[in-house]
Amino acid sequence: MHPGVSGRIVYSSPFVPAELIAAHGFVPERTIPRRRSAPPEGVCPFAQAFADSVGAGTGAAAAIFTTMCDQMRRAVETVRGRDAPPLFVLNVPHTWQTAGARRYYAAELDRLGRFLQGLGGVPTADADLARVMREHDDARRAGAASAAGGVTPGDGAAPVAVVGGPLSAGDRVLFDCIARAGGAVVLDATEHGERALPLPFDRRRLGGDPRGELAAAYFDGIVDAGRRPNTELYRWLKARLAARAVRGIVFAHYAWCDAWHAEAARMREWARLPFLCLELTGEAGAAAVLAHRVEAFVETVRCAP
Amino acid sequence: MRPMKISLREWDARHAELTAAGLAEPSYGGPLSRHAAGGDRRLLKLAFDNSAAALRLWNFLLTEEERLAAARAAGMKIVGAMKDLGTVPVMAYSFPATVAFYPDGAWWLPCFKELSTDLFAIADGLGIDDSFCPVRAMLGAFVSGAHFPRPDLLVASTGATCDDFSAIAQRLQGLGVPILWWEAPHRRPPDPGEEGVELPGGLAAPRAQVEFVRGELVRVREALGALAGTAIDDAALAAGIRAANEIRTVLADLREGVFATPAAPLPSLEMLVAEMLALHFCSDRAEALAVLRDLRDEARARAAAGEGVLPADAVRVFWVNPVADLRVMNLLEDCGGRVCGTEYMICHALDLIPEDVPPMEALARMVLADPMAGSAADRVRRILRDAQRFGAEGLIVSRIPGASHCAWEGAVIAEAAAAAGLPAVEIEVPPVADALRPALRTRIEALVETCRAGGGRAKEEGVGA
Repeated sequence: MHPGVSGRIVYSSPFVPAELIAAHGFVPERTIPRRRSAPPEGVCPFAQAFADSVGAGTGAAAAIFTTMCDQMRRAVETVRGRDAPPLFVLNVPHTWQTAGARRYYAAELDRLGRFLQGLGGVPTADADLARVMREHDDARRAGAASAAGGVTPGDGAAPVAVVGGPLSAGDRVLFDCIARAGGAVVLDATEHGERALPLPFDRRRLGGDPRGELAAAYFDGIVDAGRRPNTELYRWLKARLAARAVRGIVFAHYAWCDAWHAEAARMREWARLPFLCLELTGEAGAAAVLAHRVEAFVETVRCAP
Repeated sequence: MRPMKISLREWDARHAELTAAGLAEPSYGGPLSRHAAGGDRRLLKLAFDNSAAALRLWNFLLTEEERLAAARAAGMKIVGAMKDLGTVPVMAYSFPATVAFYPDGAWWLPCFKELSTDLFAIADGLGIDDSFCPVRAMLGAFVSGAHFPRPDLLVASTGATCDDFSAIAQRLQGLGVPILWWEAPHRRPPDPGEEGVELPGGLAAPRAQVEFVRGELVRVREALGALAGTAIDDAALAAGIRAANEIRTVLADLREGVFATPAAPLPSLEMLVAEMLALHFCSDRAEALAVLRDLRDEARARAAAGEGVLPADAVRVFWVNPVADLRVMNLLEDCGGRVCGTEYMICHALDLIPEDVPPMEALARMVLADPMAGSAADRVRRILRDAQRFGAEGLIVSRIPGASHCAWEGAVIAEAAAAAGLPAVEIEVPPVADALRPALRTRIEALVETCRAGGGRAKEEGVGA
């Protein structure tokens, strides 16, 4: 990092590669925002929480929003002019089946790199980026191995998957609720779980084209309800639901999160498993209701033949 | 007969009168009440312009299902274009024996049918409830198959589009309906040092974005060619663009003539319908042009005679977003207002498509000029510019229930208008707004009274009409 430059770059989308930020000398900070108030009707509580956290002044060097959802794309505009750091909007194509879409995403990462340099970040040589990528990849592989060892359900615990979009800090109580009710989350397919991880890097490509490998790993690896078509989400889930012997799905989406909300009914039909759909509204008092519903659901799963 | 608004019942008598006087109607002509008898019950509560041009407009609009059925029977290829609102049909109509329409238009079916169909119930049953935009009626229409033929090719833009629509279309695909998705990226301004391209509407985008969209449209063009059984060259596409621009030119003349004339020559309801013809020509490009020419000529004749359907002192209101319930356009006029400018999320379908660049690039530029693809700030600039040009005294932002963009940008637009000295209100209009009519009336009347009392900045500065 250039002398005098320090700071965090905050973001919430998994499509923002931490490696690129780190390679430019900044500290990547993937935020799980905490809701401060119930949002107005029509506004996604998570997008509102992230925008509020950025707009309130985080002391960060910059904040990155992406275009993966309409709510975030529009939330960034409410942040400008507030006590916000410099903002960058990363354009993430929703389509993924064409070389053009992949190239477009890669070009956006290049643009993000230029933005970071404009903030005083260091220019990044391919070798430096490759080194950072290896470090992050090692950490992810270690984390995955650790998680894989820790998700075996205990005696009598009901193995469930949590599927959905992002969860703000307060709503992550869902995982505790499941555990308290006697369930074991053997698959976290939310936006902060393994569903949103990039593919492991192809180490052979790191020496030759680390930027291409970075773009490919993120663009091809992350499955999401908002991608068009979103068939890869179902393909990804199918393999893991079977491999982990999942017996029930807790599906969580925010009110007004259209991409995930619209998948609930389809996934219920598709999965043919006990299915609990939770709409998170951001309203006070909802936590108790959520806990009761989760408790009843886990009990159902445990008792199912 | 002097210009005035009349009821559907009065239109029957008027139709008989016009017919007796020798009115020559197109094949789809006839009394308007037959559409109400056929299920379009909302017509019974609307007030219509009494011109023969308006009669033709309504009959043209309300017979589209028949036109599409006839096209299918004649062996023509039917393209369902979704969401891009104005681009894919320009391409599709450039191919031989191909017709395109927007299934999105089904969002008005619950209004026209006064919720008497099961379109929303079908969507509900598929998990698309009323937290989504009323365009969810489209899903019901596809499943029921009752309102338009199943397209031979379904094409949907995604990316910088409403998540509601994209999610609903994905749900449709999940039911086994194939969709060709193409990417319409979020428009951004060129970075410093980056080559930019001028877009219709006074916007700009990086050259790289234009090239990317051009590539996406090439995929659509190839799919259209495969459907039509023949590729077309750039000359044919350029001809299609010229034909679309001819319609846009007539529509621009109509809008200028109506919005800028003190006593509105045509009501806001007919103007709303007229603007929608620019999207996919109501499934008959040549006839759409003729319908719009009729309206334009009627407006010109009335303006020249100093006649209008509304008093000259009606408060001039700029309207943002289309209404799910058409009757609300009548309500504005009942409250003493009139529309003097619009931004129905389709201004990229009204602006002329560039003809001085290769056709695929021209269409790509049009895609990127979509007001919904860019920032609300861009949209606000366009709205305020047009509001000032047409001498607006007030502004109404009409929220679409459930639409993901409205919750964020409605307030942004209203605040910007207020900061510019233009009194503004936000209203939310469901597909049948009768239960909310008193509240809507109160809000609109408050705006009208505010404007009468103080006057908006645009009027004070003497700009516009």
